[in-house]
Amino acid sequence: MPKHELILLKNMMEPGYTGSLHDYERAGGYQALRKVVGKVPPAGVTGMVMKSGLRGRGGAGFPTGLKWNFLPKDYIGPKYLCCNADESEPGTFKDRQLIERDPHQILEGILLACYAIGSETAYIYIRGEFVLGAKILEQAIAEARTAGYIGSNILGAGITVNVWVHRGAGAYICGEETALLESLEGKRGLPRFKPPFPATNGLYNKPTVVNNIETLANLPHIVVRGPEWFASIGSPPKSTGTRVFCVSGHVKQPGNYEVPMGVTFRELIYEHAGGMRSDKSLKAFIPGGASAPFLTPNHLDVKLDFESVAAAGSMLGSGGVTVMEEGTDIVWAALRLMEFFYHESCGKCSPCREGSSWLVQTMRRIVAKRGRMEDLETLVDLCKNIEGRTVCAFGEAEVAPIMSTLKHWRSEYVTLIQEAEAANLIKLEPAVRH
Amino acid sequence: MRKTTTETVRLTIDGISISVPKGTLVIEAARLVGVMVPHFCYHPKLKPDANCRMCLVEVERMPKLQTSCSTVATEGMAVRTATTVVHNAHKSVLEFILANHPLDCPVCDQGGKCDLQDFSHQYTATSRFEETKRIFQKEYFSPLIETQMNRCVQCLRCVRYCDEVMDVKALAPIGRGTMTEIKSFGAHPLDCEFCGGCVQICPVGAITSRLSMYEYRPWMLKRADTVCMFCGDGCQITVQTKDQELIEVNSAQGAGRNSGDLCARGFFGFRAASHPSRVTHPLIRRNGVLVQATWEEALVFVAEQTNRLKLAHGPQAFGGLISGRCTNEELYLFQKFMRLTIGTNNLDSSARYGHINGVQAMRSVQGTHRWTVTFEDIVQADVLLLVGTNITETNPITGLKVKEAVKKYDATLLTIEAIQPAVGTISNISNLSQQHVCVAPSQFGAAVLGLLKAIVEDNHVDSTIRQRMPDYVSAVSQAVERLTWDDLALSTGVSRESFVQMAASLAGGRRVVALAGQTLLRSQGGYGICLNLMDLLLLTGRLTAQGCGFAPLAEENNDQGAVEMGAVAALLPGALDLTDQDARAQITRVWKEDLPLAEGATLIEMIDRAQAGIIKGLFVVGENPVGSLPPQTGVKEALGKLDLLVCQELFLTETAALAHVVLPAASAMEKAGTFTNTEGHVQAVRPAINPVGRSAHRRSLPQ
Ligand SMILES: Cc1cc2nc3c(=O)[nH]c(=O)nc-3n(C[C@H](O)[C@H](O)[C@H](O)COP(=O)(O)O)c2cc1C
Ligand code: SF4
Ligand code: SF4
Ligand code: SF4
Ligand code: FES
Repeated sequence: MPKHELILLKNMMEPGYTGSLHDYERAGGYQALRKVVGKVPPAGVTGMVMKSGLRGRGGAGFPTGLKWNFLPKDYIGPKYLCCNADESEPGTFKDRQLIERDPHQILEGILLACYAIGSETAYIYIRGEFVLGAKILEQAIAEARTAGYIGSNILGAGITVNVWVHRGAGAYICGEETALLESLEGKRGLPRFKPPFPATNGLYNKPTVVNNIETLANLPHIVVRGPEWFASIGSPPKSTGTRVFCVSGHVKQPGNYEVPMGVTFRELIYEHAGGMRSDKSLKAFIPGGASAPFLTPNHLDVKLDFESVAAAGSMLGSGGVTVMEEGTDIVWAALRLMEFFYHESCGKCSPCREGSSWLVQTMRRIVAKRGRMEDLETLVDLCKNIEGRTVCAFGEAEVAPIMSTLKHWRSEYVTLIQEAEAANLIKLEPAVRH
Repeated sequence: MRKTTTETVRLTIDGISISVPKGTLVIEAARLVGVMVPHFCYHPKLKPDANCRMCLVEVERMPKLQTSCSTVATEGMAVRTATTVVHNAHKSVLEFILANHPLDCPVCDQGGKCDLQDFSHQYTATSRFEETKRIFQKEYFSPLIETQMNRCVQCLRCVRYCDEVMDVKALAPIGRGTMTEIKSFGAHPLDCEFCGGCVQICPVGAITSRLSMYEYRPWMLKRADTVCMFCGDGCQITVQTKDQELIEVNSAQGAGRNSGDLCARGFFGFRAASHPSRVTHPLIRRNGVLVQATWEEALVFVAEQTNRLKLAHGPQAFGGLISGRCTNEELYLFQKFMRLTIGTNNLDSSARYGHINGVQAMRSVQGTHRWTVTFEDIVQADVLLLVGTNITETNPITGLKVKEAVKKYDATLLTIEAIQPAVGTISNISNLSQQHVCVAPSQFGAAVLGLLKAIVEDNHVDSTIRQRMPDYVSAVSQAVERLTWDDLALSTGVSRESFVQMAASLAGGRRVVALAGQTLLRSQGGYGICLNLMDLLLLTGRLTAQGCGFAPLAEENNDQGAVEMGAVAALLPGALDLTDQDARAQITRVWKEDLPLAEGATLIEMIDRAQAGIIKGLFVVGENPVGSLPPQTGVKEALGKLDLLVCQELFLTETAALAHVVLPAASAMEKAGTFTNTEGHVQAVRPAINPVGRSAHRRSLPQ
């Protein structure tokens, strides 16, 4: 019996729940849609979402209702909802489970969002590797269409929403909302510079909302149980509701755990994920996906909400919590993530493109015991020169592992370099200065 | 999105206050106060992409540095470009960009005119980069354009130019991250329009011209600003030479009517002037073969033969034909020579092939011999009608104006062309049209009539025109009434509905320009179709409205000049009617000599008269009728009958090969003068090299 009430994972945890339309409806599904369509004006739905305090679960934590409100009012012409199911952030695997096990919960969320923003078309941009997820979504869409939830004249209220599934082709950057839009338009998936934002100039240059899967999955519950109920969960007023945390790494029971925001990391790791896998103690953890700075055992009592994690010097991000035990080579771990970012930098902007190749090569040298003391200064400098100067937030993400590990475990870098110098493994000529 | 705006905003750049039109980018506002913010990916011709991050500036009340190339100036904005923070940001971005750069300036053709070199110099950039640089495998790119991808800074200017400006889309970035390289689209060597735009717009030496590879350092070159010698668009070019050798042609950003854009002929075609098969000495036919002679010998020969024939047969036994590639000065002299020295109006030029039809139509309807619109009006138009242009091939730069109007400013493009939309190696204007009618050139007339009929029947006739010119309107109405939709559909394959739709779009335009191209002008009935096109504009009240008009496209660089200089049988200098008494008197006053009275023969008439033995002597300057007229005209046989054929030529063409005397001509690279482009702009031609061989042009015209 879970300690906290499940909301998003509730249905799928019921024995025998298949995620079919029949099962979803029996569990109370599509009641939210019935409650609002033709009865509550679209602005009313947006109002509920505003009131609920729901914030985006894709990484940035932007207030969802506010985002919808940015769409131009009185706009005539197509608007789009794009549902971000690209989930490529290392250590994050919640959207996948939400899609595979309870697809109608997402579709209902999509329909509510479309209703609220006045969009007749929703695209689900799903990570290419999620072959099963894409298939399940397609089936669910077909079911919902037959049942009259998707298509024209939904529930006889004269509203049209069509939902399409679009599979990505394997680039992490296509999870960034504007790269996603480019990719959806059939172009290279490179981020656009902002402003303008998707709210005014999105897909095909039309007003567009991009929302994460988990964000949308919350909508039916907000509508059915009321925004006040939602706003009372978690740690109000700024972090309301639950989050599905993806715990991975050196814990006994890695997996997805839905808990109200505001519980501590200690509770999540030691109570829900079963604690450390061996008698080795916790050394480090990443609180919100690969883009979030590492935290230390001193941060175990930090609350899992947007503000607390930010105050601790990291971010709640995508909810991917990666736990590392004592003995983990921290510099190597940072290099591993840097390799990922180097591989995934789209190459559009110079600081990120060139910086990632520079950082990764320096890190490789340090790990291979060919580092030099001055490398540490260079690493910090490069990170600072990347941060805040890139087209998209990937720039901030890629420097997080290095900056945070250098902050908390600088001595491990120093040891590696000292070992290198001691073993005299390197006989470098004096650095060439151009 | 029209670019005309009267609203302004006031901002400060480094404390200097300036007012700029709303929508101006900060980088442009800075330029206006004399501050050049360093940049790579920004280019005024392209939509901002903000990828290089070089142009960062501080903007008050914004926490992060902003890219000035993508930030729009707003009222009260305070921008700082010269603070330490900004300077350090520029330095660090430069350090990143240099990280993977091979620093092979000594062997790079961009050396000395490279933005990366210049900014490195400005920021005394040092690099701490000691890791391994990326290396791309060298690959064959194309016969004319070379890439050196290790030098690429991935600003995508080339790719964006090829797409946004040219609409060719031949280039693409391939790969990800640092391993992104620019390649031709598809797994084959570059096959494109070869306009050279990518070479011109690349800020570094990553895309260069193979024609001048490893040939020079910029400061070794002598520059001449002149005008392209190929088509009627009249692009301004800068010809660069080293020791009398033609090295390179380019066009400065924003320069000339072409605003710095060129086509393949202009950018890569310059070597024609230095081709080894140029005629470099006078040649005289002796015992059936052309042998080298001196200018004195050749001129004496021509003079003697001319005098002999003139005495025996009179001036009407002569004809003259001159190319619209010659300068206005040469054209003027030639027609004066024919009219006064020889005494005949038997005179024609390459404008006869088509351009004359457009000019004569303008003369008869609107009383001008030039366009009443300009390239700017094409860009500003909201509706463009193109008939028989195949513009991307014949007049590529006018084509760019059309593309700009459509792609950048959302103009409606209507096309009646003999081409079908297609994805090909060169751009196809019908790809951009909102409504396209594909008919054979022989049916252009029918298609225009269909449009005219739809305009009349659907009541698109302007009410003022109806009031002011009731007779004209009823005459046109009656004429189109006689045409049946069935007949029109039969000949054009176009339904009534299509014409009606097109007519509605045309009539809905506020700024309408109708362009007629070579395929139309040269087709049977070209003149009449031009009149009908002007009927369309007149009936919809758009012929005399601001920014509206009819624009026939000149094929050769100075076809327009040829007509204006009077190098055609029926027209005197100033495009005055030969038969007009006042005009004749005016010219006589200036020339102080009487004009020949007899009406002149046109090109085909001259060929016929040569065939009949009436014309015995022909002066040909830069024209090759044997090569350009269809064989059924019997041109070769006719010219074979001449007693005297004098050709002044760059090359030994099919016509020159028949000549009795061949005089070496100077190309536009070797002479001074003026060309008049298709819009009627008279532009200075300046010599870039000395005349090749003995083709000194001052002596080259028989005077
Ligand atoms: C490099 C990068 C990758 C991202 N990847 C994802 C992703 O895989 N899934 C996702 O939902 N959001 C991702 N985001 C965040 C999106 O840009 C966007 O903020 C989000 O989809 C908005 O939805 P939300 O407001 O519902 O959170 C990514 C952002 C960046 C900068
Ligand atoms: S920050 Fe990195 S991922 Fe984002 S646009 Fe720039 S190069 Fe691409
Ligand atoms: S080839 Fe030149 S223009 Fe093209 S992306 Fe590279 S540096 Fe930019
Ligand atoms: S468009 Fe015409 S004038 Fe311009 S470069 Fe090409 S050939 Fe020369
Ligand atoms: S010039 Fe502004 S980002 Fe490149």
